[in-house]
Amino acid sequence: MSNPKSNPDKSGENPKSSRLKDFRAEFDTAWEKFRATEVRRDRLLKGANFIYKTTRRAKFKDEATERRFNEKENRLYTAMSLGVPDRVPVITNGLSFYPAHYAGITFADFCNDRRKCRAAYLKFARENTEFDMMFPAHMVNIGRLVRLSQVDFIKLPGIHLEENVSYQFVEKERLKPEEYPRLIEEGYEFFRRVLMPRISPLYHSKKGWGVKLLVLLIGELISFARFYNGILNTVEREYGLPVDSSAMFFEPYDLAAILFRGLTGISMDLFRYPKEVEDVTDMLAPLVTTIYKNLIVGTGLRGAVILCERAFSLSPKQFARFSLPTLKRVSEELIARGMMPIITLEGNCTHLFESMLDLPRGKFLLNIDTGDIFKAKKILDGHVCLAGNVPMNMMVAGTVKDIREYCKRLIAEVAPGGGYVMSGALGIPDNAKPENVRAMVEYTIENGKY
Amino acid sequence: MADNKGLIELSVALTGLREDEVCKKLEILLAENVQPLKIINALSKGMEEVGRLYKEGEYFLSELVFSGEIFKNSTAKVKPLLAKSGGRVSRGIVLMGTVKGDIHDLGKNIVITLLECAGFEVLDLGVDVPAERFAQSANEHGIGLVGLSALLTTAFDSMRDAVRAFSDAGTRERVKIMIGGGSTSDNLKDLIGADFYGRDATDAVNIAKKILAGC
Repeated sequence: MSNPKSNPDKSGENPKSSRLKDFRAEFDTAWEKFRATEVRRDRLLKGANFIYKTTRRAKFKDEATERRFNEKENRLYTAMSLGVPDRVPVITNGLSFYPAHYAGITFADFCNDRRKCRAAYLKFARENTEFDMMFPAHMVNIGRLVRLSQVDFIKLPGIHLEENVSYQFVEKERLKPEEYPRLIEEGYEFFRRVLMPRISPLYHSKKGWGVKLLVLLIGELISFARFYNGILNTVEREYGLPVDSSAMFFEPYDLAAILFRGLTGISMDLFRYPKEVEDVTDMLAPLVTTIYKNLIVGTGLRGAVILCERAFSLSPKQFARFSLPTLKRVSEELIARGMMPIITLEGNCTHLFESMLDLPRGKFLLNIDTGDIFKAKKILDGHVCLAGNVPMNMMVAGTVKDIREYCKRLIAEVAPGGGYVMSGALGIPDNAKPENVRAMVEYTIENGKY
Repeated sequence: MADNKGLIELSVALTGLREDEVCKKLEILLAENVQPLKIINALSKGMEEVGRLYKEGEYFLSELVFSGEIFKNSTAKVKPLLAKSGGRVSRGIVLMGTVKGDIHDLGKNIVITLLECAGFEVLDLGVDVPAERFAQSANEHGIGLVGLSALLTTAFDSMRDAVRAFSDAGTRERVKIMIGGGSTSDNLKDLIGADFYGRDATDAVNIAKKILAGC
């Protein structure tokens, strides 16, 4: 990260470092050349992406499917760019175990069994092609990867949790506040030597994962990428339904909160160690960008979702100091590559809406969870396309009538003039009632005029 | 009167989140042998003001969390003295827990801190708590108010089961049940048969005051 001495690129002494340097240089070049708009047009990623090239077919099943795909994609991108398409697009947004619930398999199977996961996801996609875009729920099939690496920040059904319990992030203090100076001073080296062994008992401070495990992990990543892209292929090329193939990661403040300090810890640090928090997020910004770069260039993903899961706890002043500058840097880097990041504000972030005016106009999608989207429309109208806000609890416990009424209000108050995409608050909840999901889609298709 | 001035300053420093100043004022008050109960009450008053500012949108969650930390650290210094002088009269006990299938504890812990700041005792069952345990614990300790927390929508059934466990044990009429957490709502409260819904931690304190302290 920040310390040049610790950067293996600079050593140039052994062949291993030299190979690593070449590898990184290749990624850097591919990243510089990467333009998401070209990828969408050509349907092929140009760059150091062998997995993508070998697993993605360029051709659609037939012309009608291609036409349907393009129509949906254009509708969505027109809305995201603040234009006014033929109707309000409706997307799944975040999707994890709902396809399992829909298809009647356990969350544990969806997470750990590739065959069952594929069948469930494809069933859901095939029977719900009215969506204008679907999220890749099959990305939660990471059971083997988590088992192999034994990372402690996530708990999965069938491994750590009961079979029908959603995955959950484990947020705790992995970095002590007195270690901030070392993290800032030593950067990546400190992360590798000290923090990684705290995240996984298998990661050794000197040997890293070790050759044997590293080979297994890389093999699993390749296998996962093939599985991921294979499903993407079917849904897009055979069903004509665009899948949001975005790299999903945390904004720097979130990363510090979730992975290093926990929300309680970092909330204290904002008052006791404000300079250190600021320096750490500043230091994490290039790392976060690198992670997006590696995911996009290395696996064939085409866009980016930036999760802001902990911003809700910050005051506007704190957000402006500790989160917005790095969120802006990361977003601008992605936007420069032609992407339109989806920024997800989890929880109630109504008090932060005005800060979003600092991000580039018409270049991102803002997903609103429980915040006041009607207020967001007033503040951000003409600046950013809004999405989300159909309440998660309503999709699980409400009625079709509740959903239709809520969608009616969203279309009446948020859609006028453009800049709105219909979707659940954070997506479709894992145990949503299928009739409620359909009600959201059908109401939007029938009545979604801007 | 000098005591009063010091106590007011302590309270104001806590509301202003000035941790160092709270420590200094506290040391002075302790050195002057001010009654521990008066000190605790001044700290509680400071926290009440924080709660009001939070409710009014002046303060946000990070400020609520930090004020709770200052309160906890300060009361830890006073509590040994308080015990010697007969202790603080509890306003009642609240049973808290995150329901089965959910391991999130942030919201629950903030509620607990604020309840303690307001003078309530809390029995914390932790996370992933089976339905029957809520009913058993409430019965064992004679607790009249139970708080069920959940972030995930998949935990709604567990909330319903927890409410039902009280009915099955024949103790439902003796307890009031409040729910809260990321994806809960007033509507959900009615659907699962709970008594109260708390949108945030300050709501939970107000419910406890109403039920246990008659305020």
